[in-house]
Amino acid sequence: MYSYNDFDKNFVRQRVNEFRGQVQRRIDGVLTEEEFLPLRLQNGLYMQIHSYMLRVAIPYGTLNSKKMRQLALISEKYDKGYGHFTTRQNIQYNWIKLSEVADVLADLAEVDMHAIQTSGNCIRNVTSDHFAGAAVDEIEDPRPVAELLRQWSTGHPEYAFLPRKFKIAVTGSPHDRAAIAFHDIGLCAVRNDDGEIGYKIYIGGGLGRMPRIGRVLSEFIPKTQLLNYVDSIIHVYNRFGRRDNKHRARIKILIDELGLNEARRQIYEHYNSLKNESRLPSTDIIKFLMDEFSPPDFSTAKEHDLEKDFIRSLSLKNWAETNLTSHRDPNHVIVSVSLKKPGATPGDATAKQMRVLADLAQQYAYDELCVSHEQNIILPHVPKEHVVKIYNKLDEADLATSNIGMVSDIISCPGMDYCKLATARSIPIAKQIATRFCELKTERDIGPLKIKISGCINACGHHHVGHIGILGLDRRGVENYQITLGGDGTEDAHIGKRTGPGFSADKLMEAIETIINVYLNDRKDRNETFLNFYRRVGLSPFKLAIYGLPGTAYF
Amino acid sequence: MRKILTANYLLSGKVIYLNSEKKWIENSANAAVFDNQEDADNALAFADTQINKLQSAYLIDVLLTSNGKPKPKSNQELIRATGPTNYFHDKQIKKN
Ligand code: SF4
Repeated sequence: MYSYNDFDKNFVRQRVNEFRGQVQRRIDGVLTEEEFLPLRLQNGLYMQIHSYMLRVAIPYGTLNSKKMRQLALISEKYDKGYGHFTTRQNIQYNWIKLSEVADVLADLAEVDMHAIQTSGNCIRNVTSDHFAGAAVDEIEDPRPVAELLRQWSTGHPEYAFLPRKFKIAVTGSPHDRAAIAFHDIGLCAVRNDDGEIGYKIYIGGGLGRMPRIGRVLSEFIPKTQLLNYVDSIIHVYNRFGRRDNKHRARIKILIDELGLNEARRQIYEHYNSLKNESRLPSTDIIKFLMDEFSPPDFSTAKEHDLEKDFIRSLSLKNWAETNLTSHRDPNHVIVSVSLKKPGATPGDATAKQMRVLADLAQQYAYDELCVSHEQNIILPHVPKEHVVKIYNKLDEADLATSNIGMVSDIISCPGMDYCKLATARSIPIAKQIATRFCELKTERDIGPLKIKISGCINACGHHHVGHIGILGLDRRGVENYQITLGGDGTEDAHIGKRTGPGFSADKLMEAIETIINVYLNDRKDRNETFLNFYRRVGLSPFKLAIYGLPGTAYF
Repeated sequence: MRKILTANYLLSGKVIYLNSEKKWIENSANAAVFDNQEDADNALAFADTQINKLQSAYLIDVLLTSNGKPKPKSNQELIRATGPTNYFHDKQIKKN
């Protein structure tokens, strides 16, 4: 993991002091709220519907036990004893006080963390694959590149006021777990014919009001050229991206308007002009960052037969089926800890739970944790011999829900319970669906199925890429939920298709159950997943089932 | 028209409402209801004098319940007044 050097530490501390002064000037009345607004947003402090909310950056989701413990402590000292892990691999605190925010940031700085660039029209936290460094199919750990981009983009003076926010995701595996095709820039590690590792570049992807699947700008960019390449893209966007209309300001719209070829021409014009500049990262810097992320010594783990453990405990076996993933080393597994207990708020963890996770990482898992964009916590490297102990400790902490990738492992944004921009609530919908399928005990039979819920068209809950997506809207003062089907955030990227008119909150559950029953009744066999079934049969049978025959009114 | 004035305290961020004695209170049901523009504007002007105490202040539409108490009209303001629906936080427990 990258450790802050003195430069980083000073930079973050200075920002805390600077912001402390700005907060004081606001309190003293020297700054009006209008003047203070951009300053607090630059430091991750929002005003939500009940209170201030602080969004803390977790670069590419990676944490160690010290950081996780500090996040737990902050939630107790300054908040209500819990935190909300987000779809951007960050953590949000919902109940922060302005009078204490500088102290929160100082506590974060103690463990090399901050809330810089978690808001505003700048380059946001760089996200990545939550199995980075552990995935079987990985070409290389994507985090050195993510870290390179983080360092380059943090405090970048030219890109502090872009037309709109800018999101970059990096993956090192062909199987895309980081939804890179739905980011402004997506990077995917590839090997060229000479066996050299570089990155394939996607641009113009995004969710929100106008969802777009990112398009390939280049099949291969060598690592030493990456910064110049990304810089060229953002340079063109910064100059020509629209600033007249917030809803048309993301790079995806610029690509729509210019066309990919013209966008490429302009980007390459700038790129070629930079080629010989000294700001290229040298191979030394890249090697340094790769060393920072060098894997732990996996050879110390003993061989261990998990099947023998499973024979002794059915609940362990059930949990292992959904929550364990093969690791690139045969004596290790990847453990996904679900923050989606049916009936609980997706992505929330209490201070006590965060500490348990920190302890487990430190004791058994090379002191590494990762927040997934699916709002779960990953222990990327777990020696097989420790799985039983970890499971038991998770169980004691109410963290052993065995549902990863299943119908109750729902992504949900905070929605109207917290978010100022929301048009409807999303958390109660997630809770209701998860609880219902838990009661029905059909989850295992249904198999892999991703439900994603957003409380407004901004799509923080990634509903467009849910196998079943739910979008909460306001229909003349009443919450109303639109359903989309067939979305996919992986390398086989698809934007879900709307079934038709939305449903009121009390009719939504029935519609979701009906959709799932169509699948269960008509699938070829259990090997045909919901998504594959949808791809085979299309929308029609689902529409017929939830709305009745064409021409018959549903409402 | 029926409106009440709401704000957040600058320091704590707490949701508050103006009552008829020009005091900031946490319970929206006890807020002063303005049924004409002049009173509403006066309340806003009062809030303007307190910018060092308030994060922001604005008027919201309300309905009157059967016992004559104001209740925010929009879903968002209703949740803001009563607290999030996923947890039972201090707001839901405390009365004022
Ligand atoms: S999708 Fe909308 S409601 Fe949900 S967190 Fe994003 S902005 Fe808020």
